[in-house]
Amino acid sequence: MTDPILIIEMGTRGEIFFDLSKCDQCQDCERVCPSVAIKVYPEERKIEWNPFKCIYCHTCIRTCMHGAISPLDNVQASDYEKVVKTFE
Amino acid sequence: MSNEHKISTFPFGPQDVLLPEPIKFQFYVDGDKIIKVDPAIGYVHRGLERAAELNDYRRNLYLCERICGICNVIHGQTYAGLIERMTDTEIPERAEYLRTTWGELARLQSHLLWLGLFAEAVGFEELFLKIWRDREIILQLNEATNGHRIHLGTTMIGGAVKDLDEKLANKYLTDLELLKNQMDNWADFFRKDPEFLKKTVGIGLLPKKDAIHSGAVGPVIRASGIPQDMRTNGYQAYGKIDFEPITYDGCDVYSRALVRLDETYQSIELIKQSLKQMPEGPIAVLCEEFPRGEVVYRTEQPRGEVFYYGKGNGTIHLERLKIRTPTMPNIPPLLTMLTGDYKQNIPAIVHSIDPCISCTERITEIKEEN
Repeated sequence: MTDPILIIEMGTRGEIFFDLSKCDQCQDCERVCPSVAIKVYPEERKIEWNPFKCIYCHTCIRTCMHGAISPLDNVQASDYEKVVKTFE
Repeated sequence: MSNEHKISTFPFGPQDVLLPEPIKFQFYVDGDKIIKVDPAIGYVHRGLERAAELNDYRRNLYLCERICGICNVIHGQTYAGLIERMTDTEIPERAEYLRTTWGELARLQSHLLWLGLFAEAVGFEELFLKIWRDREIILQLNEATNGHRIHLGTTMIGGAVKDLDEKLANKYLTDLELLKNQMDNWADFFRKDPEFLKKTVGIGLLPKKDAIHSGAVGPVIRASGIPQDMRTNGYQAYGKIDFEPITYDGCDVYSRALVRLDETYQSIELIKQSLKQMPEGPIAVLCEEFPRGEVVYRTEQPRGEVFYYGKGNGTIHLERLKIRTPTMPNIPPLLTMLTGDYKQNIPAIVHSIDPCISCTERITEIKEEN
């Protein structure tokens, strides 16, 4: 089954995407996240993001000094599978 | 049969179809007349102030925005204002106008929500549907602004998160004009409909003197003829735009409905003024220091004055954050309104203060029985 993704036109604050090639593992995003949805593992160069804890405030995107986090326009539909997304 | 009247009691709430929020009233009645009311709150106490002390002060912004769904924008702005005052940060002028615009947009949707709920509480269900249909225009503007329908999330410490471009500002103006035209279709119902007047005029009386003594705030005190409004202090851009508080002298439920109805029209005008006068420039500055000292910050929410007290010690955590939302000071006036009135008017009177109990829960009353 493919992921059912709902796409909304008007400026929706959707999921976030981590570009690991720009990331320097400073953990600023983890520190500012108000809902503790981001976990950074600097030694493994790995970031975990929990879409179900995230409140989609996009504070991490504004905080990242290297522009490594970018917003997407999609939000999950109600039958979205409950998983933690890993960026490596 | 004896002629003696016996005082009977009955509870109302915390869960009732007519109550929007969990508050309990114990009524003492003589026939249909209310003799005495005992309120009890604390059913949804969440320990929010303690959570705010444990949090990083920057994360508290998101916590404060979630105190109340309807007032989220103004809660966020008040907390940001508090921290900016503690760190001596001056925000850009454009950010002040942006905050005013979004604060008024929040007031507009809150008053429309209340007008709908109130219409339903006094028995006009179709009116409720019409008002909520028109409220949808505001929610879609919210979504076009920053992606979410209710939680706008445009505030940050030091300014605003997002700018309004010309296209969006024009959308604001056209959509608000559309809303104003839609509102004209049902606004006269609140002013003239004989059935509505019968159910609201002269009930839930709160005379001017009692309003002052019991410490009412917001539309409740303004409906008793007192022009008390925090916006007259001129915080944000309110000092630079034309603003006069709306008052009515009826002191009853009807006046409270009219104050809110007129404030919806006023909010539309304030947004238009704010968009017109908005200067160009940056929208945020960096807030570099940690909060220090004791500061009080007060703003006007849709329901009345909200009070924030913060104490910082130069670290990343606040030593104390005290929040008083407008429903708390409106509970004693509510008891004055209910006492001496009749049982059948209870839903209309309770709705007339626009209760938002979940925001109010800072204390829990525990009674010990011996």
